Amino acid sequence: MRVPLGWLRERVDCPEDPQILAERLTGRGVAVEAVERPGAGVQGLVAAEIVSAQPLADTSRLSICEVRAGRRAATVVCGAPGVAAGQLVPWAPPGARLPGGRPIAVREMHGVASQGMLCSAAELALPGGHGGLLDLKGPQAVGGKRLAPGDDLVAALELDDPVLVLELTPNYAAHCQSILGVAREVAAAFDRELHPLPVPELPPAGAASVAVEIQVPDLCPRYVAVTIDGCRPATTPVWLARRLQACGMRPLQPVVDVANYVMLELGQPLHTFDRSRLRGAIHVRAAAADERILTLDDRERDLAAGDLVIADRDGPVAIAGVMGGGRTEVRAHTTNLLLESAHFGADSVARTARRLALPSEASGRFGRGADPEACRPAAARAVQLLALVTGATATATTDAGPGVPPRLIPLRTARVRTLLGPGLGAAVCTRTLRSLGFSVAAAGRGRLRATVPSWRGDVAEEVDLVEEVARAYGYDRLRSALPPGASETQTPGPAEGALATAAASARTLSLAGGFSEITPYSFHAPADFDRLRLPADHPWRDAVAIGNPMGEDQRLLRTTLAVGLLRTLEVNARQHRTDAAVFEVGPVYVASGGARPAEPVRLGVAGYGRLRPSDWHGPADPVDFWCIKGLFEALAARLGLEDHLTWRPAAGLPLAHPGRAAEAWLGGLAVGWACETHPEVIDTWQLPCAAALGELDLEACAAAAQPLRAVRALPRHPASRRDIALIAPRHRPTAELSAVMREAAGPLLADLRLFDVYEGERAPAGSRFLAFSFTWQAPDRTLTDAEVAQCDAAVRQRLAGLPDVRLRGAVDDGSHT
Amino acid sequence: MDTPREGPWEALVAEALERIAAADQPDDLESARVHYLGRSGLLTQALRDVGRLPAQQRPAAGQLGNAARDRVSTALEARRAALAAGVLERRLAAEAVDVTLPGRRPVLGHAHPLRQLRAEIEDVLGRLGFATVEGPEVESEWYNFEALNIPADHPARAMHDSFYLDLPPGPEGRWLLRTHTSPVQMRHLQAMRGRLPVRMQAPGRVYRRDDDATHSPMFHQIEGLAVDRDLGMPHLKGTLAAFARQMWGPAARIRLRPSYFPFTEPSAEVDVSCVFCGGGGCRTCKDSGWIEILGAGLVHPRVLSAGGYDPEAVSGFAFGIGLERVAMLRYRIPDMRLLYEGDLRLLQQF
Ligand SMILES: [Zn+2]
Repeated sequence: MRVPLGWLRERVDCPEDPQILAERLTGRGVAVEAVERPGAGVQGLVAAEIVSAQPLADTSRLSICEVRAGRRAATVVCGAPGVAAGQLVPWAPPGARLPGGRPIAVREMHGVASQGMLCSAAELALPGGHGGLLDLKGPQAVGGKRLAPGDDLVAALELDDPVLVLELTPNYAAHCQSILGVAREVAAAFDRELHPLPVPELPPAGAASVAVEIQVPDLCPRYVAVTIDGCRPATTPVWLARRLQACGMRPLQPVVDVANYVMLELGQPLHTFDRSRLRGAIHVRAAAADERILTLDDRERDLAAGDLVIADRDGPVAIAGVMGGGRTEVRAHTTNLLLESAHFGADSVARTARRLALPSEASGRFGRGADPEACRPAAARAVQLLALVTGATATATTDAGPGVPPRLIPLRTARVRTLLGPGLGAAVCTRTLRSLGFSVAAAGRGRLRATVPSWRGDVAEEVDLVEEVARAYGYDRLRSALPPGASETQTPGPAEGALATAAASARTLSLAGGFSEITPYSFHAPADFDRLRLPADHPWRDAVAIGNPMGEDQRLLRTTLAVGLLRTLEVNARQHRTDAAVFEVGPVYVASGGARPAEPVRLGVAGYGRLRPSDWHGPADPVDFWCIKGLFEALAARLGLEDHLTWRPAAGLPLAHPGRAAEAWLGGLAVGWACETHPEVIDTWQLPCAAALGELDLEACAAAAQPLRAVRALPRHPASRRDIALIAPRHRPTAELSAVMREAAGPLLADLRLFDVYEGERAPAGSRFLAFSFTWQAPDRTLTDAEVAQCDAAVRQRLAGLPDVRLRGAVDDGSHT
Repeated sequence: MDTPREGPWEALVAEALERIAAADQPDDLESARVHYLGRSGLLTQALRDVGRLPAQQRPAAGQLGNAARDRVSTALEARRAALAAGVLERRLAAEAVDVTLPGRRPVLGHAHPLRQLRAEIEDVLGRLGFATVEGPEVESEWYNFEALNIPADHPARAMHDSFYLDLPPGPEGRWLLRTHTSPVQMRHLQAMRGRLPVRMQAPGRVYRRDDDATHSPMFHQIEGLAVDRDLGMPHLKGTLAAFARQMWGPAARIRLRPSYFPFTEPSAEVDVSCVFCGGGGCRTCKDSGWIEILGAGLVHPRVLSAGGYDPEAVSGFAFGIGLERVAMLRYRIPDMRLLYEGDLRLLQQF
């Protein structure tokens, strides 16, 4: 809602400074978003009569005019068409400024000293105009007054009037969508009285009355129809057009402009019919399913059963509160009108306007709840203005419908004290509610009864009254205290639950491992799955789709973190980064057969290049398969799962290099994967080199986590170390060999560590050298050399039994020969 | 050689001292020691010769000889110490590094600003007694709207505001991506089964169909909820004032303006005094001295009822804060989308 200040001041005294007004209104919940000054800078314009106008010699289109403004007279050269003696026009004498601040001076034109300029509507930033000078004859000044030569135009036409721009919340939208509504708030805020708006009575019903039959009184409780005769063709007065323009509406045609003006002023939407085209009585009824109507915008529209329509004998003539029909549209030469000022149900109008995608100033007001008591005053005001503008007179009024009874709401003062503070008793409630137009009466011990003013349809129950009391009293005046039992210095409890712990560990370890955190969108494009080389039946493709995505690249809910990770790598590769390492802890959305998808939280890690650019200390660790796997291993260790997490070559990972991809398992459950990218994926995602990435299900890890409950006793006897070196086929997983050796080693094995893998040229073809370090230890004694030798021999003996493995000599010197 | 004479000793000592002084390598010094004090060194020989002197001359000559030997070995020792010090000095000098070269830093990742902020707010609210609770992102219309007093024809439920999922509707209506963290209020109230007091915070991702420099289809909120007997606006104000002080320093103040949310009444927009100008007015606060940070209000009675609490017996307050807005203000991030893109040039600044 836009509120021209001059218009507002007609109804209530406002502070001189619009900023103070804006702040006070905002503080009461009527948010003023801005104070605009569309005509800022304008000054010194006056009305002037053209005494004579002669073509200027040697020019085809300039005139030399003698003008008179009060006691001033001057010669002005003018280039506008149609300039003639006797016209009353705007004159900007030297020293004046146009809107925007452009200064006017004496100008030498073809040997004549032109004393300023005569102005068109456009030059004054006013609507309308036809290129010629603005005609100031008629009721052009504010309030319908006539102008005389010498009158100050800045005041008379409100050329520098500021406009308050309101951003209304749904609950205040209804009653503040008019000058009157805002004036009521101003009056309450500053404890002022509204200025009366004297309006003549509507004529009674009579011979000319048009019959009105309301078939659905719950959707239309009130329908006022006024017959108006004798409209003469006219132009909309400047002040009225300017106020419409300041409110953001385009002036169209005098009758329509008056209807819109009254709507803006009083909040009551009006409609005018060309009475010569109406056939018989007015029926307010629900549309039939197959009915159609040609609307004002020249479009044939299908009505839905239940749409509220205004109809005559020949069918619908308007969609109630939404848009008029083309058949009865008021045109330039319409002389007899039927003015409709009715109250339509908010839900019905909103629904129809939404279905037809026809939002309008009228449907916006009805849809938020108009004032049922405004029908007659608004009709009377429109009659008054139509008389002024078009010379028409009202002949008869039909006032149909039961109306809307006022709403009574009880208010318990104890409730108010609980919710707003101990100081707010019956006296405060009464005073604040009355300032807002409620009537308040005592209704027994600790109870008040408030009668809601007709324009506050949003106030429906006790809590609404509490809110009205709070905002009228002032939020800033309410007390401030911590809830009982709270203090600012409490220690926060630790985040609860195994998942929170696992997620926190995942973040900490990833950050410590050199990966930076990202928060990509939770969406995918179906094409992303192709970019991951997923076959049609790959389980990741079973994603939940968004019915109304913002774009094709956001159609699916993600089923893997891989896409967000790779998109991030892609973004960074585009910046020519040679190194990137990122992670995310967040949910994926797993379809569960049409029911609510599960949202398991995962750790996703990805990168390429090295953990940071090489510097003079040398290169950092590469971001490769081992880097991802190592991070997951470290996390597993942190969660007490070091001995439970196992790895197998991965088969179902089409995005992966087939030889560098593994699945992580916890017991019988696949909980994650790690890989380096397939060469095609490198190309598709435009990465500079192979990326490594992986995903780990934190919920599964959290469920299996074994938090440390008791420490192991520290060994009190020294350990012995023995190494075993062997040659094994390259494809033989070391995990298998370790398992065999562990089993053979027996209980005295304290630690088994693979400390060297050699696959260089000195190794026989298809084989590699492996070197393991065994730590032997007993809790209760120092092992003798003989005992250690026995253990060592047991392992070697088992290894010797493996057909594809060969033991090697000592490798303690570290050489591979 | 009738009488003890100093002459020969003096000459020998002088010569030895000269040679010791000239030795500038440990090897030179060692050969000087051998030359004078070795088993067949000159001084050793001379001392041995004393034994062959007549008996009455021996004590005096022996005394002189011992003194000479002591002087030479003292000089040797001193020179040895000096040379050792020099060697160490040279070694240390050779081992010096350019201390202005960059150090070897641990390779550390950078925490995302939104997560840092979330942790900070969670901590502050945690201190005020609000325990963290999380809820699902895929919500039903009932939890996201109806239970929160947002009826079916409310504009917020229009298709253009929410992401609806291609799933068959359940008993609680269609499925959508939650548009706020408020459904967690409802789930928590139900889980608490009428117990008091309720004091929870719900951080998380939320979704709306919006995409420009200050809006994103996915963003983050933290929601706070307190329910107890006799809670009211003063407690909301007190809690938010404490929150503002903890977040933005002891001078931070708050201002409440009446506003509208379906799930609270009375409702308020909450401004915090501008942290950039202290309230005097600047570009960030558009010269108002205030920055809008939160939405808040008293829990609507219908929301309490939906959560299984009797609105006649208890009351409460709720507030919600958008993390992106706070992060963008704090770090002067010009475009919200930068927070989701993962450009490391940005992330590495945190
Ligand atoms: Zn500021």
